Amino acid sequence: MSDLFTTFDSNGVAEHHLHHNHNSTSSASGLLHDPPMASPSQHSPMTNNSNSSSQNGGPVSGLGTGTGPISGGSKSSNHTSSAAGSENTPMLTKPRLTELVREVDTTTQLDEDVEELLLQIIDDFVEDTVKSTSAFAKHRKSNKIEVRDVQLHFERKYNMWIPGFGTDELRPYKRAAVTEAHKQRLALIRKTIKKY
Amino acid sequence: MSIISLEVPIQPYAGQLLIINDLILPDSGSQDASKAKVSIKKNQRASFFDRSSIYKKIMKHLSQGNQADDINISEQEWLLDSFLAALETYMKHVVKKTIELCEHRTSYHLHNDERCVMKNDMRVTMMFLNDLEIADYGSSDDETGFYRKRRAENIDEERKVARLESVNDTALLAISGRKRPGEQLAPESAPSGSKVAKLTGAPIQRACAPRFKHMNIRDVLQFMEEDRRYARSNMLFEAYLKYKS
Repeated sequence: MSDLFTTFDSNGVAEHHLHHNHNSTSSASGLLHDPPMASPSQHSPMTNNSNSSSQNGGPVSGLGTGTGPISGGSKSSNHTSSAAGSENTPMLTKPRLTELVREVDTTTQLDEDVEELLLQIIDDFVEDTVKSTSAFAKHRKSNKIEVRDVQLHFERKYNMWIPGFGTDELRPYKRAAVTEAHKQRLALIRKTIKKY
Repeated sequence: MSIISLEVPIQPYAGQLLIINDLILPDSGSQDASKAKVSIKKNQRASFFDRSSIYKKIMKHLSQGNQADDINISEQEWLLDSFLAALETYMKHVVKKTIELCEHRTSYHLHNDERCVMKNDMRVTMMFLNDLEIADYGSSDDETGFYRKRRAENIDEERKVARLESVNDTALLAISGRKRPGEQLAPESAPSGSKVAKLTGAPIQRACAPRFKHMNIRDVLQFMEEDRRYARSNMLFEAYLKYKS
């Protein structure tokens, strides 16, 4: 009889755990709902600016009102949320990031932590680019950031070449000086090939 | 103004050359959506990134550094186009590198390699041990919290597995992966005999089942450790504190 009683207690405790898991699942779904609001709030501690925190207040309420009544397609909800929170919308939302990763490789899936860290890398990229380009503009004794400043920064820091934008003076490949002896060797090789 | 040569003491670049071409662009549906959103300027190309928010972010950074009065942006459209192209190229580079690390960590390509034979299937062994633990819990008189926590964790893991399976099924339906085995079986079954069909059964099964790559936080951290830009950065240290707990 005591064994049966203990079994019942264990089942009851198991049910409690099940309920707890259900709560955690619902909280997880809530967290899934929150990511577009979470990313600007996570960004604010890095900037350490009260203005940014006050600005972040707006998009949170806007996103809340935007997503509440709409329960249909994701496109319409995204449109409404972007329209409502146009003041401080993120550069890249998590669904868009997932879509981008699918474009690169269709069989890849991301965790939430991975998404957050990738978004941080993007923010760092933008911030670093803005600082460097403004420094280059100051160095040129100019008060305008031009395309060549951006080009120079990407070339020097990220080894990245932007073709078709701005000036063509900066080129990715530089021709090495060809010596006269090398030219003669090439000419000899061409003659030899023509003979065969 | 005449162009003066620059000698700026900045960090030398590191990494492979990234020439911006073959940009990752959204589908036509999203392009139409983006066109609908931005009806004023129809010539803007579609992008995964929000154009206006990038511009606002740039102006915000300039204003934070008290440079808004001094520094302006000329050729706004051109500048934003180049910036977007660079951002997409860099993001593509980061994602590709991280995927390569994920493949290496999970030995992704070895599963389809005919030269390799799986001797110890750890997944099956672990599932068997988990079931054995649950059975021991049922027949044990010990009422400590260890077994309850373990059981709860197992139940949670089962739910996660079920969720992942549903996600996988949805992805398979989206990419129409189920049509491939039929297409592969039809031309091979006609010319081959019974023995050849039996021999070719195993690789067909392998090819028919695409494996998904579950990118982990360790892959991104590994990428940051190997990259010279982030190897000694505060972002990496903060990531250690936050995610490696």
